Amino acid sequence: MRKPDTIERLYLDFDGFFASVEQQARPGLRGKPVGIVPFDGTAHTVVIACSKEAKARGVKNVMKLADAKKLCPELILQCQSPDLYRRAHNALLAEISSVIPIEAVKSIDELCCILDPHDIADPEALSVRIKKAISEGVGPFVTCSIGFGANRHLAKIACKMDKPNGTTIWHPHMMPGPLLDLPFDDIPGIGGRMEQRLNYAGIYNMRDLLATEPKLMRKLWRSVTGERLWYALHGYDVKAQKSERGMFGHGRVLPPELRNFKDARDCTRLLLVKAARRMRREGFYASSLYMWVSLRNRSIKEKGWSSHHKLHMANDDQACLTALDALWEKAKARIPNHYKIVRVGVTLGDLTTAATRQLDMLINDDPERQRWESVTNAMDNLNTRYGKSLVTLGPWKLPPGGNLGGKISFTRIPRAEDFW
Amino acid sequence: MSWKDKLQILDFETGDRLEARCASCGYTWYEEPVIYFHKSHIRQLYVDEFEARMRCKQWNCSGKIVVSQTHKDETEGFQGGLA
Repeated sequence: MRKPDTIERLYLDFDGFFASVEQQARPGLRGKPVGIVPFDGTAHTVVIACSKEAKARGVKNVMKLADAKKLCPELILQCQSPDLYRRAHNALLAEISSVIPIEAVKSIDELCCILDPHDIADPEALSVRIKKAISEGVGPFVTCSIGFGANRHLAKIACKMDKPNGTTIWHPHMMPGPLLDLPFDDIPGIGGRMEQRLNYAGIYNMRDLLATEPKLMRKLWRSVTGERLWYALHGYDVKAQKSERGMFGHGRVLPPELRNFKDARDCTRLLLVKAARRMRREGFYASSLYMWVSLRNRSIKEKGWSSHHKLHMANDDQACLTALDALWEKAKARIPNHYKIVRVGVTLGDLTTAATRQLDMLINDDPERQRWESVTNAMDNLNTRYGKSLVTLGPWKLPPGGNLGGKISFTRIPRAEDFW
Repeated sequence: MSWKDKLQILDFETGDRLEARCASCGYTWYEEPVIYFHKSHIRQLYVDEFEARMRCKQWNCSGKIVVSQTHKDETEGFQGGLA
């Protein structure tokens, strides 16, 4: 494995991304403590992100709203706007790309780049150019922290060292000095449970961890990830492997007024159609539909129910919705009426690409499938042309809160059409 | 200086898409720069000039358009915390 003798990677992390984008877009929020919440009108939620002004008052990301309000009574709550964050992400990436090519987008607010010899010679100047491009092209309220290191992982840890709006450079000749006094919390890949496991093995700090052998880390992690982390921390050229697409799905927490069978079923219909649209855009067919629901009644806190239905390599709305109907019939038969359905989710799995698709000889539904695929393609084309869900199979009534299918996750950034 | 006054339409490659969004009504569609490659009066335009010439396609709107680059919607993510 290669061990670079100079910095080779840049890692960029936007500071309080959701909150700073809101402050850039809404001048009334600038300079004030802002907390982003997933829903309006309820106190039983969490602050999913907060501005640097809120962080200075002790508020943290993913903190219960009641706790955040105790720490910072003047906290301004702003309901999340995933489409705004998506557009900000695109604009920011375009500005950064005009300075340096982007190697990988790690999440909506994190990315990494490979340095060329010119940038390796003067990383500070590169950092200034990137920050200038963001400030001039998008606005001064969206700031970022940049880390430079021999590999992605070290650059990521470095970029957290001087937040907000900082630049940290960890040349290989400086290593492992900056790592030695860091708490395990600051090392991506070491969570609370892993810290317990390390303590049990007599490893209490980074000095102990860096002094271990890679095979011992593999044993402690019970997977190759531990060994890979050892090499990353010691400055070798290691990075996460690209994962392959395995499924398309969406989930939703239902608002209190929709926690019944009929509304939960309607919600899953929309979630499934959105997931099927994404699957078709990527050119896949699904062989299984999975549905899961979270149930609650007075005596239990939460209980899950899930089931799946065979699909025979389909991707049209009719096939998906027919399978969903079958799953709901099963759910009705199995779930007692006194349960409330609080969360629902659907997933299209066992994917096949169009090129490797094989029809089922025993079912022989190819002519019908082809007809429904034509209908679905026509609907997709009309919806794309008009920029909304103009034609759908069955009713299209979005639940309160909107943004159905537009969830931002670590592995996906929604597109414009996910909000139609 | 923004990316829009650094890139010309002919700088894009086949498969690249630009997202066009109406600033008035929010109507969004995609433009493929490759279809303008044979139109000499458009392919030489910088993206900001191209953007200034565009108008919303929705009936009775004609609002100003904001053009943005599209990127892959899937991220690389992390593996056991490894970047």
